[in-house]
Amino acid sequence: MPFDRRRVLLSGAATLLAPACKKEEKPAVDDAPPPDQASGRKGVEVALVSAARRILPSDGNGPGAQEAGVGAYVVGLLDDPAAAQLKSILMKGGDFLHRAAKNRGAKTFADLDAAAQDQVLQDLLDGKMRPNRFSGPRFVQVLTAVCLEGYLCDPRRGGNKDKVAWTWLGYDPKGRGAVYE
Amino acid sequence: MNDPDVIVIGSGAGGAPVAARLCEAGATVLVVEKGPFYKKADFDRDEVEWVRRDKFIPHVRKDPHTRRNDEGLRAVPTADGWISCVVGGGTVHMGGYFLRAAPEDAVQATRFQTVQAATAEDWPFAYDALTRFYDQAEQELGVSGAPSGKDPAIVSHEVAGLVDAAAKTVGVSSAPTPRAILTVPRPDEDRAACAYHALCGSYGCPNDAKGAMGPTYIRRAERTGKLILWTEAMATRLVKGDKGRIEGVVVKRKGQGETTVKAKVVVLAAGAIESARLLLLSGPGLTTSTQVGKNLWFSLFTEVVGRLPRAAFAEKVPALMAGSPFLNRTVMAHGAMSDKDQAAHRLDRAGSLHFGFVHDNPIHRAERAAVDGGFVFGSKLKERLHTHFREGRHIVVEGFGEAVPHKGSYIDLDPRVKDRHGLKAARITHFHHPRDQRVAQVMRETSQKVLTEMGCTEVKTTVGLGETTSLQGGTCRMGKGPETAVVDETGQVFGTTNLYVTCGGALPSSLNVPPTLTIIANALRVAEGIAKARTRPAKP
Ligand SMILES: Cc1cc2nc3c(=O)[nH]c(=O)nc-3n(C[C@H](O)[C@H](O)[C@H](O)COP(=O)(O)OP(=O)(O)OC[C@H]3O[C@@H](n4cnc5c(N)ncnc54)[C@H](O)[C@@H]3O)c2cc1C
Repeated sequence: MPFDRRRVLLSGAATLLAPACKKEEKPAVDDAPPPDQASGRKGVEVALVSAARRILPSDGNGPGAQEAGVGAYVVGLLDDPAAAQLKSILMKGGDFLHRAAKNRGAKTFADLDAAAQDQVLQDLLDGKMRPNRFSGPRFVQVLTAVCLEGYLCDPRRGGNKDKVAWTWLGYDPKGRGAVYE
Repeated sequence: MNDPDVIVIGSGAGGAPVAARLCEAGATVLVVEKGPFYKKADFDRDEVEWVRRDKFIPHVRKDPHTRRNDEGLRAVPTADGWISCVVGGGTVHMGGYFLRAAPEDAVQATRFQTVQAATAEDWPFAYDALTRFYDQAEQELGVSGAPSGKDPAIVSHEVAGLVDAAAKTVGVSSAPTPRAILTVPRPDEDRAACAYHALCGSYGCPNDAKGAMGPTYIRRAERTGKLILWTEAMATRLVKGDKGRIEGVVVKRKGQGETTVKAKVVVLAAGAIESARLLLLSGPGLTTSTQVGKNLWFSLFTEVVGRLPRAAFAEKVPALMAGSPFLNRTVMAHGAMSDKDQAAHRLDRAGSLHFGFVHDNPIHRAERAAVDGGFVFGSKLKERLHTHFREGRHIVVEGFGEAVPHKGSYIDLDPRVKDRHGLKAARITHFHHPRDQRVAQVMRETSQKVLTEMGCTEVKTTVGLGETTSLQGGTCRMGKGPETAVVDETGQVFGTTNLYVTCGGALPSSLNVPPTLTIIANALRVAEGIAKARTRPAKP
């Protein structure tokens, strides 16, 4: 909704970015796991934490997800009733990442190298991998949105550890003075 | 509790002023408010909590609206159309752009005689009749920079000088936006002056500098000792009596089940969508009007952004990167156009443009950086974040234009979707009239011209033709008679003797400015009428 400073990536507007997801096309990857092979919570968590580090990498240009504690923030959302509407896509997406890693011979998503992790995320975004149970681009966008939350939130929510991201970007919640200097 | 004299449903812009005036006139007033009461001590800057998890509005699974673009389509559940469900309604987290309507806004039907398929309606009273109430509202709320002129305007950022100069070159007006924000403290009211934290829209004010209804009209009502305020209480039905009388209101209170409260007067101020819904939920025969829920408008909206790169402006505007004060400019106020532009676009007016810095919410800004120019993640995203926050300022131009009411936009009850109480949800059917395209074009192009003239780079339209569903009205509009309107000149629902509507639903058009000051002024006008009529000595 315009005139609204709420959300970009978590709102419907983000679907504009998802041209790759056409219903009639066949999924390129059949991701529905047999019940006994679902990743389990641990695999999902590891995948989300590692993916967060690819969304906001520690690349020498300001703090990354790792320094800001973004992974723990994202995993925390899975049990946050206020974020209940995000849980399903995060769980499904995390599960997908875990199994994508297994298909590539790694134990967990974290065991893939950075380039391979990036490739999975990019393929989901571009619609080269088309999961059955959720929209790939939507998952990457939601994950990015919650990573940015964990990066730039009030530190009392668990992310933005020691205000590292606020400090790097010059944000001051009080808004006064030459805050962007 | 004894029966109150008056029940007011909704404590927002349309409800709270009525409660204050009628309490001050000696009536006992019960305000029934669906949401909780947050006070200034509750308000902090936690973006996740307040802004990203919908704390101000109900969850779509519990209290859905549904929405579709045209009849014949199936409407899907949405949170669109909720303004805010708290004491004070939408005034708690509004930005507080408080401009008066222009005289032309009062005569939309007269102006739109040749606009095909428009269902416009003139105000049933002269524009000037509202002047006195605009004065009262501006003074009582403390609208800074207002025409009634008590409190000076919000202090402007250096960049405002660029806007003024560019607007002059382009040939449109530019002036500080009057804001429902105190610039002079009011210790007697326990309200501080603005601290320029630049986070007004989307948050409650921790200083009560903002003229939200809680610290202003609700407080005035409380001080009389005549107010009873029920929070987390939802009116679910109006109870019809004989001869057009409304006997009372059925209310669901949290944890307490349903009660029926009787009163001499009932004032409906639940916002345009929910007021129409409540009238429809109350069953047929309540009013002689055929127009309940019809003629829905949302304020016509455009959004254009541009960027002032730090490197290019470091010398010219030394304070470019300073977070405060506000940019706060209204350009092309009331949509005033030159004769040439009027002829070229076949329009008499276009819409007002508010120039501000992009809202300071850091997560929201970071999302924009991720999306604008094509979605990215990884190191590219971090580069963009750094550029976005550190290497310049983003200006956003929000356009508020006049939407044409027409038969295709309305509220009714959704036949399939219900809320948590089993009550049918309001179904929004809305699309734009063709004239809206031309209005939006002028707003977009003028925004782009001024931004470009200022020296902005990356000027782009982010909303070409949209609507802000939190600026809503028309569904219970005032007008001549029951065939074209729902309430009469006094605000009373046609065919009833004691039911009034005072929220945005009563306004026939979206004006060329955000409407809330006009909602409040009209509510004060109606309240004065009720007070006079009801306290008149009985005929011998
Ligand atoms: C983020 C944001 C920014 C805004 N900025 C501006 C601005 O800068 N300038 C401007 O002019 N306007 C602005 N607005 C719009 C402004 O808030 C509305 O125009 C105004 O509040 C509408 O007044 P109202 O009385 O019609 O409805 P509201 O103020 O929303 O009041 C309706 C009240 O009724 C209650 N209610 C609904 N149904 C029931 C029921 N069945 N029983 C009991 N209670 C019920 C609701 O909980 C609510 O509190 C903004 C809105 C938002 C959301």
